[in-house]
Amino acid sequence: MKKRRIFLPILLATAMLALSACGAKDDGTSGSAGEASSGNQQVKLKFYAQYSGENTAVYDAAKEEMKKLMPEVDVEFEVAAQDDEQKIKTYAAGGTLPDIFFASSGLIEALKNSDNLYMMDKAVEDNKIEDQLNETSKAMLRHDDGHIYAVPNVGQWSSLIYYNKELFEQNGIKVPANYDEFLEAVKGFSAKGITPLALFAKEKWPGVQLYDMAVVGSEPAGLTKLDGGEGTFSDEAYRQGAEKIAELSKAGLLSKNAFNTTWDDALAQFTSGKAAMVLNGAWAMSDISKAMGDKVDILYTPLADADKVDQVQWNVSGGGFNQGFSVSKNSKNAEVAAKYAALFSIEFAKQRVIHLGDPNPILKENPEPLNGISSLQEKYKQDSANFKTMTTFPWGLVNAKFKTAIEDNVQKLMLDYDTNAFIDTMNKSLELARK
Amino acid sequence: MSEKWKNKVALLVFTVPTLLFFTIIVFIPILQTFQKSFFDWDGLSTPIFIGFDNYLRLFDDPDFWVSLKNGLIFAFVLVVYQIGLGTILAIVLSSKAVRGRKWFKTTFFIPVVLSGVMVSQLWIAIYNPEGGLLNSIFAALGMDYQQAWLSGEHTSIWAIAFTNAWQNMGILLVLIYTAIKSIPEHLYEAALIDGSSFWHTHRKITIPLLSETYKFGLIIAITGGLNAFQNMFVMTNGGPGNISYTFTFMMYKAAFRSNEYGYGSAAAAILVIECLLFTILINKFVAREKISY
Amino acid sequence: MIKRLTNGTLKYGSLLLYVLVSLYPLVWLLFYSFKDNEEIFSTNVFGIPKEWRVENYVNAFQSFDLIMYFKNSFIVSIGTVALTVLLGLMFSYASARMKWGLSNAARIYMTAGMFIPMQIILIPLLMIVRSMHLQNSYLAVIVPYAAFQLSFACIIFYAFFRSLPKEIEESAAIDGANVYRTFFSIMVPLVVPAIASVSIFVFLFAWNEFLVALVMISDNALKTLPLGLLYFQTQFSSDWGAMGAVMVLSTVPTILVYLLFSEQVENALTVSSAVKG
Repeated sequence: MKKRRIFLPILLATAMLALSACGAKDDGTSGSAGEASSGNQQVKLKFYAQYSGENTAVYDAAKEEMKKLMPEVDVEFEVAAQDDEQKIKTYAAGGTLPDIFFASSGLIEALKNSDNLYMMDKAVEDNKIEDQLNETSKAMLRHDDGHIYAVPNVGQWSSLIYYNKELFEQNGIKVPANYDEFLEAVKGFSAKGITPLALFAKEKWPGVQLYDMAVVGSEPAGLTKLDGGEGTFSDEAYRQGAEKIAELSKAGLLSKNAFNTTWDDALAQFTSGKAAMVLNGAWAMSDISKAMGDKVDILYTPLADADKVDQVQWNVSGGGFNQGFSVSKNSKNAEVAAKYAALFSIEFAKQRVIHLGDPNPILKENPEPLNGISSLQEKYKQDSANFKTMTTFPWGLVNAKFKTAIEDNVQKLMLDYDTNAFIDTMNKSLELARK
Repeated sequence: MSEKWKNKVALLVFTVPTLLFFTIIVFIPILQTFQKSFFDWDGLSTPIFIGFDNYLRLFDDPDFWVSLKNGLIFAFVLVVYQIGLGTILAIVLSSKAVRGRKWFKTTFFIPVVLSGVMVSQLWIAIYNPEGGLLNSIFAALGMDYQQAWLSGEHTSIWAIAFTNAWQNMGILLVLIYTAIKSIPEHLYEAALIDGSSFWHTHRKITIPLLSETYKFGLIIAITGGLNAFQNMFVMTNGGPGNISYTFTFMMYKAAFRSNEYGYGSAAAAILVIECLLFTILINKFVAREKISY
Repeated sequence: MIKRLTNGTLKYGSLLLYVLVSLYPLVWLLFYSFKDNEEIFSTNVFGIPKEWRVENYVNAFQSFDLIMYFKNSFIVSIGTVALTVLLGLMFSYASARMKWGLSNAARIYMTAGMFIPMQIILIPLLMIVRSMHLQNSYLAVIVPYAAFQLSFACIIFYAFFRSLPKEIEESAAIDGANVYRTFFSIMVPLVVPAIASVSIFVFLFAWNEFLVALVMISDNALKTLPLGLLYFQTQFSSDWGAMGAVMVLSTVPTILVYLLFSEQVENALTVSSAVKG
């Protein structure tokens, strides 16, 4: 009995305390969007960005540089979550977008259609941003309608297959240059109990990327052609691509656990020699070279037919997406935010080179990397000058319905190898998506 | 003030704040979901009214039927595991003859305390077809029963549901245990004199007296299963393909990945109706009479 | 005798087996928090770390403000518990012990929070929270948490109130206590086991919830622990060992809360079954 008498008052007291604490916090801190700017007044901007891990240093350094250019602006970073853009979409729906935020092509499309994006043409022009960009990056600046809704922050990465040179040598397997050799390699590793390709299919995009790589040897536009409203999955290039994926999967291309494999997991398999190859964008190069040194090399189009390889060698998969820092139209300081975002993208690109040795920067003139760059990064840097065409990464697909359907159905194809079912379902989804 | 009037006021004082609060925060969003299910809407632009089109499309969508089936399987696993095992463990632990029962009870509750995201990660490793714990155990027992648990069309949803059932069993255990301990001792005295066995006594006396507990236990387990979300979200992302989809996942995908908020709302509306149906049925058929000791 | 012995072995044997199954995650988490990504995912998923990487903990302490996240999580969790328990008790008392026409319908209405996970109706939820001007305060998460947890709280409180004998209120009325006094000083103390149980579950829910907090809280100073973990995740890779270290630290209070409250359940149960007997 006695204990109970003490317990209830304690519960109630803590409750009161907690509730009053909440109330107290309520006043004062509201209005995060910042007060309207006038003259030289301080402006506070919210900046929703990939502010975590290795990027933290890049953002911090760029922010420091920006203090010199726009001392009147103070930004607060909000860490973006890996959540399929759920948070930012909810913000948009609720009318609470941050002043500046990172946006992918799909998001730009959705937000532009609902009139949530601030047009950045003037900010880009006034601050001479375009003059500082290299040719490939200039192409990323404008949307289909000729206006600027985001300033690019990173270059056109290609999608790559990284391979472990030692494993290929030790097992006497030829490094594949075309599809047939790739299939042989898959069979060879599979027979030896080594996973041929570590695919982090817990995320939906790497599977789609692999399919795009299988298509790009016959159709340089890859999936972007379908995304743009042309063609169907019954077309030769797409059918053949599906057949290749099915055949490779059947031959044991992936580990049984591929669909629960995250990037960290795939990387660990690759670096520990459990897997011979791994698929990812060129951005993973610094991590991979750090762990593998000279043991690793890269392939661009290992899934093209033998007779076409020479012509399609530089038709690579990946890149092509129009993304970057955007500004909310409803921001109270939209004009200041646009200027800040435009200048920030340049500073950000510089700091990426300095801190991360970024091998394909967006700028014409670049600073020296702090730690130099690896031989692999150097190779990629030279190769990338030869790239003829690029496709996109799935987050660069504009039609969200198409994107979701292809993500789910490629996974299915890798499981049941049923090419016809894949083509039928996807054609149906395509029809629905194009309505 | 008359007695009757006073009671009316008291009734209002006790119910109105809760009902009001609940209506604003929970019911209105649900209502809006129903409303949006009749629109073609991407979540951002102006919605276009399309009547029952979303529902017609739903019934034609293979994802819908997979989701319906998966929701029911999930609920079934929760009911059997949490209420079944929960009852057995609660009865054993409430017996004074078991030494260290407090310690046992605390231990069994540990999984509930952990974060769902963390637990899901552990089970991903356990289910890993290559070197995962489960397949290793089967191999050690000499059984050739190797499975890609989370990627198999017939195993995926069961494996995910089991994770949830296992993690939250402690909740039902504590609730059933608490209910058993509330049963007055003298009710057992007669049985003791009769000399009937341990399990027989509990089947005849304890379980019938737990009907009120089973009522809410069933509601918790069934609605929990039908609207499960976090486990798929962390463990399989609904995949591979659509094999671990549920209505909640359909809604999530439609709202945040394919920008078809209206269509997703239709799936969510079906989910709400399904849960409501089960709740009404349980209220109707379980513990209809009030028990007093 | 032999039968009893085998019975005992069987009983304790299976109980101990389940202890193993229940405790292993904690042990696994502890090991995890001392590993690096390669051990966690590939080379040593289940075993003892080959090397005890204390730097994961150092990392956790240095790279982000652990104390602040703990404080926020505590305020949010306790606030949610308080609001849920108070509102839940009042409504359940009315629905279980008072006679009114819509009692049953209202009770089923109140379970609606269990019909849909709040994570998928985030957009309308955010709009409501915004229109109530709760953004940038702890109430932005406490209010939705409490509202959705009310369903769970109400069905449990209802069951407990319903099992109390009718004579209690009658004798209170004879003593001249009004309905409010009867509620607070007689009825509520009798359902302490239910209060303690509900408090545990609601606390754990609020402590671990991620998606709603992610969307509702944008002010860095108000972020709860699960949001803090984002700091270790980048677009394509994460420092899982350091996250494990934070998880271990964030599990400690939840276990303490459970122990504190379950003690209350036990004590109260002994008392209340005596009252009923």
